[in-house]
Amino acid sequence: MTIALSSLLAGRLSASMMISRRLERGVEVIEVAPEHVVTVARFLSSDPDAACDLVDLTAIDRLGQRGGRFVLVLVLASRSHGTRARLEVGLDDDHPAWPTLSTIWPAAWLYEREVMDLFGLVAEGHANPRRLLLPEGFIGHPLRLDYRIAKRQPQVPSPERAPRLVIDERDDISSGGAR
Amino acid sequence: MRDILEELPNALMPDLALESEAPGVLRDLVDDDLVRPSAEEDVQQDSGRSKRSPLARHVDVLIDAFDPSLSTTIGLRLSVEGARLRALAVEVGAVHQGLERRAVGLAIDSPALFALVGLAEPALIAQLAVARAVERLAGRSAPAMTTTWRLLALDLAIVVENARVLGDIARSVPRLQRVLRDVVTAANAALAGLVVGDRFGCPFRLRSAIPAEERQTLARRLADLDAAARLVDDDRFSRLTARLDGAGVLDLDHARRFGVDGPVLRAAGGHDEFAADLGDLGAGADVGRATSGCTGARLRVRIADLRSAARRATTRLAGLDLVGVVDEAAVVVDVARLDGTADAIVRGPNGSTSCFIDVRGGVVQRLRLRPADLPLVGAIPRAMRGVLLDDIGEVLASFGLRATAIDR
Repeated sequence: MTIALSSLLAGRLSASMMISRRLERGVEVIEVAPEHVVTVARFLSSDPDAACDLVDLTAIDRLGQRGGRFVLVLVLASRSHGTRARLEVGLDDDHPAWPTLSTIWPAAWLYEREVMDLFGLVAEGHANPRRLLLPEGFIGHPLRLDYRIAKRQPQVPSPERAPRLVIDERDDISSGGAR
Repeated sequence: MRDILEELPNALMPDLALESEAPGVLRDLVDDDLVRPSAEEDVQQDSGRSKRSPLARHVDVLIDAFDPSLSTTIGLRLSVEGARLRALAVEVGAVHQGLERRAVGLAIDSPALFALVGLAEPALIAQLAVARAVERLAGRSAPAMTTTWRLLALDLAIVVENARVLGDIARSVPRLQRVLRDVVTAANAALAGLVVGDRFGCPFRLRSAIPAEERQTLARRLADLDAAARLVDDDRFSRLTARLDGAGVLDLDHARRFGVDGPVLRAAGGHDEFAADLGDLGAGADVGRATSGCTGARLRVRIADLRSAARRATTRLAGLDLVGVVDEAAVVVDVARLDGTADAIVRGPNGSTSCFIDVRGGVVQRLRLRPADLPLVGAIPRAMRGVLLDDIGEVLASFGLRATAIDR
């Protein structure tokens, strides 16, 4: 149980990049602002002493609680430390967005599409910001807490417009981004 | 695949798989591969000078429709060039189940939440991931006996999944397909007979006492399973595996980029680096490894995983005291005092499933299940480029993709 990654960040980058850092049940949690997330992510990904892979990217809606409403959460695994860590990014209520991280961790490509689809948050600069799981024409974002769970949606009129996850050449992240 | 294309009227294709000495090996397309004639040739054909007709360049294939409200479980849009695949688009039919949304507001120990997570695919891995996250949130570890039991359950899940994947590919070896089907049946029966689902405090605990006769049956099933797993070294299957060497390559760099882990990553020379919460399952020395990242490598990794998991399951069962009462092995958690966030990762047969939970006063604010299959969906089009049409089924199957696991 260490705070190795945040110490690395403070020593080699800048402690001012972090809003806070803490250990939560053995997992290092680093809070950063949206404007710093790309710099921090690039460092954690590329510094050989951090060597972090992205395990998951998701969000939390804290509607009705104190503080900002949406928090972006990145679950990381450090190859050099054999530990996990979380990056938390508090998003602006009026403009809940962050710069896309898919150029740093291509694995973020689909996760960001999923968060945009289900939460209505925006990964700015994402080259293919279509819905991922829900059909085009779906109204609202069901993982927002103010989305009524029993809300009715327009009927999907034909198999061609049935909900489906589509991965095609626009999603080719093998060279670091979509064509 | 060939059958599908041959349904096209007057289609004529070279069979490179039969004609080539190394049919699975990816090479650059050459003019001879391009069966579709040029526009000029079309005209010539239309004038009756040739019996050849142009092949469709795009073929839609729907696989395993499972729900009448869905158009498909997996749809593939193939862009074909000659006998090879030029590009592939994957479409996964999905109706948003809202599993994660419906979990919000439920007490962390409620049977409703446990049942809800059981709707995820595969249910066993998802429930284990949530159980580990809850235990981490509570600052408690499961008792050793419970952990052993969970590892046994995971081993059996690895056996089932790999036997399923290999069975899909072994269609040309009917005897082996039968054996693998029996392996799936035996492992599922062992799992159902041994494991009792419960709430997240202690899922998958031992039944309080298993009758002697039933214990013998279970032991016999696992012994059969171990023996059957050895049959995947059948010569004909080895030849099939070898034929797929070089086909459908996902190299280490791309596997990492797409966030893939599990057997697909290990087949490309990677190690499962995502810390697993349940011991070294899938990451120790006793798992399949390869370096080329091709379909043959993935199949050999799966064969090794199947055999080692069957062996471990047999050994674990032999070492368990099935008569002992282990109800007290449950993790006791003061649910109302649970606050905060936690995450856990459980390594399953196709890679890791991760769970992230955010809880206030014992009530779920956010439950996130990241299945192993989503990164695979992203990676498959890359691996499928240039694959011979004859090999598409085998290459796709080697990833073990479960479309139903993706939607939550």
